[in-house]
Amino acid sequence: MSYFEYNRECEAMGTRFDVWLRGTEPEHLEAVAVAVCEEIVRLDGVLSRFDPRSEIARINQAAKPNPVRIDREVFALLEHCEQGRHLTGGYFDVTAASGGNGLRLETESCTVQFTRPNVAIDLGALGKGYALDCGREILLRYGVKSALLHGGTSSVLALGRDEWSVDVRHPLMPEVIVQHIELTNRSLSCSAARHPGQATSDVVNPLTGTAIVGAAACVVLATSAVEAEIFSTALLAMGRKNADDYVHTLTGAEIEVQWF
Amino acid sequence: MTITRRTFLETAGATLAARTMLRADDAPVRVAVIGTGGRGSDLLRALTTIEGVELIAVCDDYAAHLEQGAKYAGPQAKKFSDYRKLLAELKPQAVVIAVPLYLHYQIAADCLSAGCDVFLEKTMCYSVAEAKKLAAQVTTSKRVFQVGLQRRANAIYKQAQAMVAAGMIGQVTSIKAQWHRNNSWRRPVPVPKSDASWARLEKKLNWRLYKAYSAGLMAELGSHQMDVANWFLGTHPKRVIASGGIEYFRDGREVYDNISCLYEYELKGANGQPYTVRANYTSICNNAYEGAAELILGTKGSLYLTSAKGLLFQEKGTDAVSWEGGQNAAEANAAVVTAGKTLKLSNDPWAHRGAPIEIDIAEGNDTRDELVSFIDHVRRQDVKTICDVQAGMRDCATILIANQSVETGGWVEFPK
Repeated sequence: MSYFEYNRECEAMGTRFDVWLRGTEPEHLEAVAVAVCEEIVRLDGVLSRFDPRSEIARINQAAKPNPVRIDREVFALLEHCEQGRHLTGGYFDVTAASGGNGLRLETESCTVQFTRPNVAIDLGALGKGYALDCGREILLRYGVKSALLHGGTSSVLALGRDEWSVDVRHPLMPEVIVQHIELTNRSLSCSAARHPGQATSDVVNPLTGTAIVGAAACVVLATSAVEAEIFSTALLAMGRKNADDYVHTLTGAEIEVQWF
Repeated sequence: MTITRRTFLETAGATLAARTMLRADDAPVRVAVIGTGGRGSDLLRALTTIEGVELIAVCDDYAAHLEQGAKYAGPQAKKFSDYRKLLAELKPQAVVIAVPLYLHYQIAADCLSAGCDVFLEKTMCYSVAEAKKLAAQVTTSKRVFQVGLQRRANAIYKQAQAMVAAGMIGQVTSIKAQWHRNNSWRRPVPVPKSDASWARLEKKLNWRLYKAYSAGLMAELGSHQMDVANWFLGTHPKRVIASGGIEYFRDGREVYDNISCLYEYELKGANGQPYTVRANYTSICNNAYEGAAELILGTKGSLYLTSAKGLLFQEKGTDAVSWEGGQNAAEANAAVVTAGKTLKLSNDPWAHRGAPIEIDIAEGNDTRDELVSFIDHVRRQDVKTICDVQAGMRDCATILIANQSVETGGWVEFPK
């Protein structure tokens, strides 16, 4: 049986996504790749805080001071974010930029309310991870057994038994490859503290409100792309030493962490 | 004529004002969604975010779509695989229908007969004969009825329509619209081709590709854009000549993978003199360069319109568009129009267009807004919806005669 590889790219969330699929029917692979790209673009339209048509933009406008009824998918995602906030002691928080701990979710009525004025949801890189996880759902639904999904230069998801090679470049020295990772049926997220030429980080420690110092970047491998995003964001904000201590106490989350 | 920001907002905001009037003692509107595939899910999810809507049921005869719909709808919504059972058992006040085109007429007619107000996804019907029957039934039943052409609820299009009506681009001379993209327009099927159920699922999920269920690109894409032409020109085309075929995706599909249409609209000038406006419409599936947009060309300016952005380009050597005078004119208009990005006139091939004025009022999601408007009309039992059955029928006939022209190879007149 012939084996095909099909590649498609799309633009969403201010960056480029790549979809690499392997299988036996090229026509089917194309249809699935299109479906994955459409899903990613759809999610951008739901989750972008910059697009006035998105559900997140509507929530940011309407959730103060009253509770607003929101879409169930977005509600489930915000619940997941709240779990991430608890799990990381507040270091992952989608309201970090507006003071943190700003959401009140009510499951029964499927509503969200901001706990004070001037709160706004910013999903940050989490949206990319969620898009990759939703992409994997589509791949599984349509019987694709081997795939690599890639969002921007920071989020990767591998599906199936194949090893997919991922090179991690140093955020401050892009010509240097600091890590070569063979990714199999796992997700990877890389959070960088600074970019070349940038003296101080624009990543803020949500607990102190000050710019983080120390490591340039943190790579996390996890079972889901959302988990990888939550931990890479939180660990970078904690700083390497605190993060190392924290990771040792973690139970139930299978993550692997690299620093440079 | 002087156009101020205020008059714009009054025109564009007419439906906005109405929708804020939900009172605390208003009973929720009991809504069911029939068809929970891709588009149906979008509509369903928007409904779950609208205050005063009680989503009582979801219905689909394809189990995977029904499960997905139920997940989006929440636990209070009952699941049905047969819409007739849903109507008999729950008697919803309003239904939102998003099913394959060939089923539109029968399901909408049954819902009207059951006493429901109806939101029917575009295109209204599979044939002109069905559209006429449905229009007659809507009129006699006095039910609230809206066709899902969401540009009618989009702030940019509402504003652009007001600008055209106010004469800001002069006399409209030509319209150019297209929906160009680069993909097979094929939905994946969850079983391999070798599976016994593949052929059945292919027809079910890729109904858009087969003539017995679909009217192809014109119905699924062109209907939105030809509705803009009909709406802005205030009439339907007189006739059309079109050419189309399957040139690239020869994968067993029956509908064209590309089509080009030339429509003629007969209008009357201010002096009573008749003139013809020609509208070019194309849709292709293997080049996305031009994307999806409508271009309204007038003697004084051009409007470039998409769901997310509207741009006004003024013609050189004509009277400039008249804005409110006085030293605060710019300020007065600031919330509505802001200057676009400056073009480099020296070497830009598009320099002759000049810098655009942007229609900068993207205010919300038009799919949600069209439903907000529909629910508001249901609550007030106001049959004058933003896209009523007459507009829906006009749009339906407009796109169907293009397909007819491809098949007969000549001009086709708009049906009487």
